[in-house]
Amino acid sequence: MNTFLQLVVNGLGKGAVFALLALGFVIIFKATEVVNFAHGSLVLFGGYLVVVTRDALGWVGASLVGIVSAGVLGLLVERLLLSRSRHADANSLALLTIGVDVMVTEEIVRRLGVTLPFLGGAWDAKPFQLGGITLFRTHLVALGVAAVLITAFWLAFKYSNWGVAMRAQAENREAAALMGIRSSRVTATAWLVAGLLAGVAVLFIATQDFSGAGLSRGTHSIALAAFPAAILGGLDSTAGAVVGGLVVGLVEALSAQYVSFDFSKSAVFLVMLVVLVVRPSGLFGTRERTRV
Amino acid sequence: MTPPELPVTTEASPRAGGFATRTPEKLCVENVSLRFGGIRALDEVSFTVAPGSLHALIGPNGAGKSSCFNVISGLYRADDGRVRLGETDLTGLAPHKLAGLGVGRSFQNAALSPGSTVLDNVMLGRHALTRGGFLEVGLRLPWTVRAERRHAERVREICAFLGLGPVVDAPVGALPYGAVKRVDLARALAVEPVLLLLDEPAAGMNASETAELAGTISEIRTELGISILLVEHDMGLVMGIADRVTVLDFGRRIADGTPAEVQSDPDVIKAYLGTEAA
Amino acid sequence: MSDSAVSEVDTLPETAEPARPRRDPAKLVRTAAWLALLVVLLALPLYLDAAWLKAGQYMMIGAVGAIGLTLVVGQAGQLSLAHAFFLLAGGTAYTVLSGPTGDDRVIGFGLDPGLSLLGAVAVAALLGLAFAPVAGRLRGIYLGVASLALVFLGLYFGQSAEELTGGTSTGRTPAPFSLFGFPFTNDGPQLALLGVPIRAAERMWYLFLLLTVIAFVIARGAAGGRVGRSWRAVRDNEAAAAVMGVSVLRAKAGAFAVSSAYGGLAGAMTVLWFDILKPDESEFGTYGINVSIAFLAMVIIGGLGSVPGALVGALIVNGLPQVLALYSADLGWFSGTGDGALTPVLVSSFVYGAAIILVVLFEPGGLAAIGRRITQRRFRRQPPEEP
Repeated sequence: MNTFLQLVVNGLGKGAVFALLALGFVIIFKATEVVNFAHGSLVLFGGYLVVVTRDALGWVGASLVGIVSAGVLGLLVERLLLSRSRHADANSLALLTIGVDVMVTEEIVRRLGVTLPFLGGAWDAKPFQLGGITLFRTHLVALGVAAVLITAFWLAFKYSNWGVAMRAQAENREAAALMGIRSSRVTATAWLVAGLLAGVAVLFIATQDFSGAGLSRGTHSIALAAFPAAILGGLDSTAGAVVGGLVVGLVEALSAQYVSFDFSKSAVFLVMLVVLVVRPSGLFGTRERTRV
Repeated sequence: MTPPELPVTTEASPRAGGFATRTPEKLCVENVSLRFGGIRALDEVSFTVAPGSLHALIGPNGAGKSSCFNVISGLYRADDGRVRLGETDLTGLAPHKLAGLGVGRSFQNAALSPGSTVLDNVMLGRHALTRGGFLEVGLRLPWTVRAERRHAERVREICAFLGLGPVVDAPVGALPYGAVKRVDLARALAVEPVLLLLDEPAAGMNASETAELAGTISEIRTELGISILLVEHDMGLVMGIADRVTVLDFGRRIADGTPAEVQSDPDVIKAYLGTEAA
Repeated sequence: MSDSAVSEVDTLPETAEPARPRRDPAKLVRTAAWLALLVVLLALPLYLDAAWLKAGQYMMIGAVGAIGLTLVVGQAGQLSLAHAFFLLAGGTAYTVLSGPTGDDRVIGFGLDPGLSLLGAVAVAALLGLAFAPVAGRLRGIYLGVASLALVFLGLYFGQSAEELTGGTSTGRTPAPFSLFGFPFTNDGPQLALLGVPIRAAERMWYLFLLLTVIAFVIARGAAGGRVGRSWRAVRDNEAAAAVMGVSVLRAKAGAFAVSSAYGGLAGAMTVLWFDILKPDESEFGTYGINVSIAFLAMVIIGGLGSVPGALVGALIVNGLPQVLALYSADLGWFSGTGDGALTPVLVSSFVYGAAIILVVLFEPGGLAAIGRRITQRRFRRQPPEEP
């Protein structure tokens, strides 16, 4: 029982990080209908900037730089590439993000070389016992941070001008534009926010507690779990993203323990497949209705 | 200049029983109901399209005309009621079975592939009349090549009849709107239908184009002797060529009769209040 | 009535052609060009050494896979990131079917290599069919990510089914290919063509060329005929396709089966090329997501749905790292090792990543669209979407 509880708590902690990634992913999709295959490279980029500035700025400063840089990269991708593609539809733009992902990931992996720097805060690798279960501080911090960020985002989404504008644009792009909503501003902000969230996430992923591995190509693979998380929840549902992230974290933790470590990656995708078969648009996604 | 004739096909199709020998049967829509959540799109709608007749389905926006079409085409599943073509029950059939039964349909938004040629688009209508999977077609087996050529000939005939002869090898995306609608019509005809469903064929056309379309539709009916069910907004087109008219409003049938009867029906006039009823 | 019909047609661009061009100059030129290319490819083993032939074979593996992928993604509109899985399936099936029967460590059926190759294609196609019902229910990007699941499942399968795959640390060797007893290695009858000995590298070249040509011709034929038409209809408007008589589910299933068959063939060719079947330890390897993405890159660069485009895309994406590696020895590039070193694979990744971006930004129709525009200018017609 203790093992199970431990798995659940730690699974939720990991899930919180996946939720942040999935949330960013869904924000981009809601604003632009583009699936961002470059999300993993946003994660890597933020992490890389932390590595590069760590010696000069210390952990806090470097982390801030990393978060902001990831946001800026997202913004740049949107401003310089996506908005310039006049004749491309959402599917082609998704393919474009694949190109971005390849280039950014390869370059960062090249620069990292054989180093595998850990990005965790001072709380990393200091597990403690509570009532018979081992808790990892990174996961707990992640849960806390994610809770704060998700609440903040939810409030902004519901009540701020930007949130309303984004929801309007996601609902009906043309009508929103006619009502004076600057679609470019909504889109750019969406990518910025997604990047920022990715920058936060990497601080938890490239740690001893979370993955046991430092920043590397493996980090990109781990971030890949954002996809099934977002899909499972429904690509156009922010609530679904959070739920999906938590589900993915749990599934990974439980399957790694009860089946095998190798299986855990497949398990996440299998669960996603099962959900999709039952609900082809994800748990909370809106079903498409084609007009004839 | 007399328009080109549309020869009735006399060649046997690859399947036993060429379509030339098919006689059109009546289409019976019986008490069809369709609900979307709380909204009743269709409420016990019934009407009959007599074989070989031109039947129009009209009504104000949102009356349920397109929904009715989609139910007949099998794209929507009715909650209640039946649709019968002669003896065959169409209700609940998968949509792709209908072409094989001789039901052809055109679309409100043309629904063509803009990157492909007119010929290629219209040839899609021959799908139910042909056979051949990936390997047979890929290996260019002689019978598939011959069949393709034969069907292409027929398709060219249909296109010529609709005035599309000169552009048959042009991409649909490059054509003006009126021509695009005619390609859609050609594709519906390529099915060799006994029942032709036309969904707002005159949408977006000006007066002269509409008049021309009216003539084409009448001619299709007389030359091929098939039944035509037409959904339209344009009263002039409908009243001029239809044999019978069914009027829908809010999903319910409010009138059914000859154009003259329907025009003077008080319920119809009320439904169209504010619009000229003739 | 026809007066206005004629006048409407008059307002069309003047490049509209008369109804039936009997002798189409563009088509003759194109066929002649393809034949010339074939002759060149048949003659190349007489002039290139084994290393270059090996590089060319690798490009042909890419071509076969890319052709299959462009059919399902470009023609049928089904985004698939699962191609690497079908490569693994085909490679494993070939190795297992043709493997020796008496081995303790791994299973083999001892079948003739030619039959095993066909079996590999069939196995991959069946797996594609098995996935098709799932694919049929999903739209667009949901399908793309769902197909990723197969790659992960393949990874897990490769790691755990050691009696079939040989495991990630050792792997297993596939049976060398032979056709009706004629071995495609250095053994068997010593042949020579115009004084050039036809040994393993040359024989494999011709084998791969034969497979690529068959793959190409069949794909081209199908895409231009009834099958391709039904796929494009499903891609562009499912409702319209259904109403015209196309069973959407069958069309999608067929497209998936075809694409997986091609992937399986490419996989069998892969294990023959490497002369080993060795599943990956992580999702980044010979059968990993990176490979699915590489094939997708070939298809995008070539132009979605274009079979000749897929060939060119394969040439670029699979050819570049091979060519760079061969030239690097001469040019002294890529001599650095350790952190930050540029390798042929790395440079190629940059190149095709950039190519994808450029294609989407400026010409979403890929090289095929560019090619069409060039031929259009020469023959003054508006050619339609090329199957």
